[in-house]
Amino acid sequence: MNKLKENRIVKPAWEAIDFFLKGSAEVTAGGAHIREGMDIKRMMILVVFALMPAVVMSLYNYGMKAFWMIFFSYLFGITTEWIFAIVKREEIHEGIFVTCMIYPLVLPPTIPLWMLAVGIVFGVFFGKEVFGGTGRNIFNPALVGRLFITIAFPFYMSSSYVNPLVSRGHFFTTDFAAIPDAITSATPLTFLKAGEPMVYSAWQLLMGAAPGSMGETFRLGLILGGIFLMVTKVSSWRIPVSYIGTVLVLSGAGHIFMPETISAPVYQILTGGLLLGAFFMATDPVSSTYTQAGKVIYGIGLGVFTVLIRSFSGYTEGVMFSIILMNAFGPLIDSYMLDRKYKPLELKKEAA
Amino acid sequence: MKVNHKTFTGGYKFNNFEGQPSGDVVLYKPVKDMIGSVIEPGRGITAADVLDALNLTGFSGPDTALTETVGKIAPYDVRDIVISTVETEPYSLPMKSMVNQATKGQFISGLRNIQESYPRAKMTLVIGEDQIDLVQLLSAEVKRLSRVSLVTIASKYPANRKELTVPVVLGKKYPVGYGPAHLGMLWLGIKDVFQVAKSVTEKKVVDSTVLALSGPGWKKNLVLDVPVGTKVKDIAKSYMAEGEIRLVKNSILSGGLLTDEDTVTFDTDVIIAVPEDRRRQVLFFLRGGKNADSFTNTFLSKLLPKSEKTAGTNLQGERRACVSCTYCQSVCPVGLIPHLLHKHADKNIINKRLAEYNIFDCIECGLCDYVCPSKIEVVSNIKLAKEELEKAEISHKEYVIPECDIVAQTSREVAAGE
Repeated sequence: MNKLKENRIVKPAWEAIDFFLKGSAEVTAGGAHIREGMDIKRMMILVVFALMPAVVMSLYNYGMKAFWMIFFSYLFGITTEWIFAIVKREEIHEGIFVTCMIYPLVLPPTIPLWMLAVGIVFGVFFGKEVFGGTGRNIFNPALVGRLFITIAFPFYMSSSYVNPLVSRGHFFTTDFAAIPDAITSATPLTFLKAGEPMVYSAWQLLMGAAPGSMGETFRLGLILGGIFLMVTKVSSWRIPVSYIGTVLVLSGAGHIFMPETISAPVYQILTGGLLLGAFFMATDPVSSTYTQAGKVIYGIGLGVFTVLIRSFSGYTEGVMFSIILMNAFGPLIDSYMLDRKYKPLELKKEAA
Repeated sequence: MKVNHKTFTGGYKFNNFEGQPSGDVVLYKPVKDMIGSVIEPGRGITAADVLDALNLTGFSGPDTALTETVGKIAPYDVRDIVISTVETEPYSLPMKSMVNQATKGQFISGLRNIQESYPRAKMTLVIGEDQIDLVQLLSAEVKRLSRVSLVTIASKYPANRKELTVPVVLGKKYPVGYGPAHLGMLWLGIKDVFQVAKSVTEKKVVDSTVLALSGPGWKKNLVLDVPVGTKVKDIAKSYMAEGEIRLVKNSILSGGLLTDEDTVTFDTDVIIAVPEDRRRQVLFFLRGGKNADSFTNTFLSKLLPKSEKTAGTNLQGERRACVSCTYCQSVCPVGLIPHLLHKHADKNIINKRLAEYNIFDCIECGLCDYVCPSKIEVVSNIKLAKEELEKAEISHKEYVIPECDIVAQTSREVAAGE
């Protein structure tokens, strides 16, 4: 048994499960003699916990398909992480639990499972492992995966949305095309883009009655989850507040001058993945900025890019692109903030 | 009497850790073969002599590692005397046991003695905002003394450090690494005031010091009056509980380990005993944690303010790579970005840039270590980086400290001239 534990292939998985279930036996050495109870596991599990309203609503709306999507996301995501833990002789980082939970939630529920698997493997590999693992990645791995399949399979990602509650009476059906009254429809964002009147009320959008990516539709749950994370200090309040605030102000002003191009602020916020992005993806501590002022600038940048892409580009949704873009700007913003805060030191003059 | 209140950003409020000592000071039975410095009262002994003997009026070089006293500040040059009674550590010397109705008179006479010795000094008594009893007890008496003011400060760790108290209370920058005498001031603890009173007013030999036995590792949490030079081993023999226990001097966040050979000195305020906690807690990350202390609001203990927090040396998680959660950044009392410094030190990028990131402002309070969810030894890394920088002759000695005038030079000349 002990020999098996030390096996190079088994070791990371064994340690991950062992620590996960039993906790640490290590004691402090050097530095502070006592440590507080918060650890990375708790931090990551709380993010997953905060996503639970969205997950439960996905299962309610899309039945077993939602379950399989989450299952395969975890299966392939954790396997990729495990392989890299073996290669690099490092431990499995708990951040993978969040990545694999967010990833299926930002996908359309009709997506074929093989495509989902390709995306998560790509996302974890190119979004995280090539940079050296969690803590060193520049981009949010879940979004890198989604970006990859958006570009590789544009047809699936733009037109294959179905109305929620499609699985009522067909809970175990995973092929929505086989359900007679399944309506493939455009998301509310497409209506806004085309300049058509919105058919959903704000309340319907909040409660998840409109089609969209699997986890983004139940917006009330996302808001509650996001507030939970901010109140518990798991995530920073600066980014979501400045992000959503900027979208409100910018689209509010823009809507007055260009009502045809820029849609009303209420719909900007309650459509698409904005709330999911603002509360759960933009706040990813690794890929966002760490200086306090930098966080605010980061949020403002996200808001500006989101409104610009939604209003003036060929894409209907701008949240994913703006987060990936601002991820790339993050180090630059931090470095600028550090230069402003810390001035070069002045050497003492030699005493005569 | 109007009491000024001061607060500061960063820091962290610890409360209600298990094993807090209380009650009156108990005399510890002396053991034979004591060694240690003894202050004999003589004719005309002054507070300055006592504080001198306690090594509180000297200034060393601008290097903290240099413990040897280079010079003494002349009493006439002392402009400020700051006396801190702030309890912000998880375990600190309980002020209720030290200053109460019975010992108030002794404390005030100590203050008076110090005042007489330092004719130009303004005295500031710093009290934590939580210690309302102490403010009520002392304000009327302090009012009668001239040149003494009472200031309350936010009860957040590390408000008990001179590097933090001086800028917050006196509004002048404290050059980290220099002694208080360099600023023309004295930094005193409450015990020093009592030592002065004991020697000058009561004409008794100062050969013992008060210390608290804190933490869950003692059979009983007492406040003891212990002869200086007593072996820690002997105290442990009489009072320590069974099991594998770690003994720490003065601060559980930044204090050093005590071994059997160590003896009690005048600067021993607290001996903390915490059990070496190697128990694994099954599914710890899912537990409510009604006795767990945390900077975040993810434990039930935040909703139960009266709950007693457990203290053990368990790491409470596994070591992971830094995710830049910024917890360390928001608790840092001196406004550094500890995780940035740690990352530089970890990758061995130790150069002038670190000095520009104000690494020498670090007071090694240990808060970043305490709050880190990735369980990284941040402070140890920063210490290493500082040592490397010193070796490369990039040190705070070489740089101008803005908004700070170091006056010790003149006093040193005075001292040398005498």
